Amino acid sequence: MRGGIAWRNLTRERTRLAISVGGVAFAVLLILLLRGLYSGFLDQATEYVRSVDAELWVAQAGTPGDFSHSVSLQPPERADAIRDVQGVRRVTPLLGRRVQLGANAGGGEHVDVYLLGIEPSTGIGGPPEVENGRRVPRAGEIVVDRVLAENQGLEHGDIVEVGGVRLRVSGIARGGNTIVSQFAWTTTDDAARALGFRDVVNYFLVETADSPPKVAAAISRSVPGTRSFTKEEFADANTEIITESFLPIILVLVLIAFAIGTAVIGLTIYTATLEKRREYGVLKAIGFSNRRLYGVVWQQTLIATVIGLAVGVGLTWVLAALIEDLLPSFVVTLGASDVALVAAVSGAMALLASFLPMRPVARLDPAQVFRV
Amino acid sequence: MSDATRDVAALKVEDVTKTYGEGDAVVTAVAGASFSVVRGEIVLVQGPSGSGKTTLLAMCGALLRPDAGRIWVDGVEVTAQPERRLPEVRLRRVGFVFQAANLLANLSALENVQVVIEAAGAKRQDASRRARDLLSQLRLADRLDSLPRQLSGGEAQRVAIARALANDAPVLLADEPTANLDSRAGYQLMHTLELLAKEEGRAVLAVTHDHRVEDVADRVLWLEDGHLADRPPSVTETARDPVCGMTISVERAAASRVVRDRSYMFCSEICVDRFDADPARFIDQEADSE
Repeated sequence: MRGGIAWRNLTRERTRLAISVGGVAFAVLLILLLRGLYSGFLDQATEYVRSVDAELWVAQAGTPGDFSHSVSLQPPERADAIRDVQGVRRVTPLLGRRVQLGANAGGGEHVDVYLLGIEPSTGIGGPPEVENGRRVPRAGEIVVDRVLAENQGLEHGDIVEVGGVRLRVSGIARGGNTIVSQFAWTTTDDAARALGFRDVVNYFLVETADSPPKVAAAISRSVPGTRSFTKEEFADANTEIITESFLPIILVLVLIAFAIGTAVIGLTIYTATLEKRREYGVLKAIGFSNRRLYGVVWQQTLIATVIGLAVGVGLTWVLAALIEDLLPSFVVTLGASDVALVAAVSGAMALLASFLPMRPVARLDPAQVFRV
Repeated sequence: MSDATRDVAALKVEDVTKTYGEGDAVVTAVAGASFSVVRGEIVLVQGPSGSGKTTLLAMCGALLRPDAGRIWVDGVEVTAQPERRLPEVRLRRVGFVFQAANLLANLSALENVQVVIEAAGAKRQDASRRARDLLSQLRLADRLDSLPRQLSGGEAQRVAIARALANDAPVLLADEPTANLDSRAGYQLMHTLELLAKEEGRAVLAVTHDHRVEDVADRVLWLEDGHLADRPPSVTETARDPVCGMTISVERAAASRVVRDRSYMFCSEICVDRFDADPARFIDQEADSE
């Protein structure tokens, strides 16, 4: 019945319940959405790298590794030296650089894309999946990410211009969006022309027959001037900038959400407790111990928090779908572990929030009930 | 109830003293009070405002510790118990009836009683059954689901009595239980207390200014300036107000009139004014009722 008192106090005072639940739901929504967007950023930023059918990325020595902020320039013949290293099964050259793409055969708006040149014979380094059209471009063709296509109104068959080279859109791909930019794929020959490269390869994609770290070490030893990354290392290198730039901001926002949620629920239950001080005094007088009364306060806070958590999670799901629908480049990635995390955070909020109203309960003099 | 049971002191107060303040500002609320209330007995504590009645009641209910003296409730010396044990004593051995019903506003009549039974460890179903029985005994069977704001003052006070009886406490402490009730509800409550004492063997200690309650009391204790004195109801001279019919204490009458060599006492100025406007009417009524 202790739960009964808490439940009745909440459900028979609905405005207060709405405020408490709203406070928690807002905090949950903000935390989950930020976390979901952040996870979505990371997933999208690395989706392409993780999808490439190669265990190692071999770059020029001294290259930090991320696509956006480093340029790796290597001679094409280095492929042979790498191929000779024990444990290497296949070596595929990859060209790639940020460049401007002009829609409408170059007559439209020019936008930044990361153009990748892949071997059409193997398709290695191509897009993770294709929404429509071809996944691997042929000569004179380009495959663009769906976000780029949507933003620029590109459709299958449209002509774009990159570095003075006109290419026909032959496929709309998925998994090539890094939020700040999108990937586009063409053949190595077309990429070399569009990027103005002559006898330059940016990365060598290596399939291994042995453990990737072992082969990476062997390549670094045997082929001077190279730096080998495992797929995971290369993915991490590409998310480092996102992590370093956004994580502190997200952390601050999450802390603000936590503080707001805790304050709203804490103050609401505190006000409710003060208003019911006389009732708590009566309960104390008739034999309820402080501990039992703390239980009532704690349960009130907990119930409001659990309802707030459920409402917040539901709202986040709806809002996430809406965001993805309206802004395709923003993907909210949420899983059970995120909900578990926010549930733990909500539990901490409830615990902290219940301390505030416990103080007036503890200080109540039960003899006061005789004096009114 | 057997005579042996009746003679057991459910509440025993021995040389209890309580003071407030320090130094020159010290106030003695209760000074060396001793008395006991046996099962089946109704004892009233009366006295002027600020005489220490509430302090005495709070000490008897283990809500306040005396500075000196000892108090036993149902055989347990509450003054010797550590603070953490006192809620349990109050929960199981003392039933409180306050001036206002003091029910939990968001709980129904049934839940208000049930919550106290469950607090003592009963299972929900058992607690619900007992709460229903108690409220039915107090003729509230049709008000079980009503919230306190939907109850009349008398009904709410009866729910409060049911709550006080929830854990079968042998001692009932009542603080001005009829103060907020109209005349009819006051009489009903008075007789409820009488039944609880006489038929169920509870010891009732009540602080009240309501002289109607004296009609059912076994003893009246007079507390003035912290000092307790026995004042059996028979010692107090009472009279019947010829206008409203209430029994009032002669010494507290608002006014008196002598008509045809007979004295008439009045509870208030209103009754005096009405009497003065037409004395014959009330004298005749009085004669008829006699």
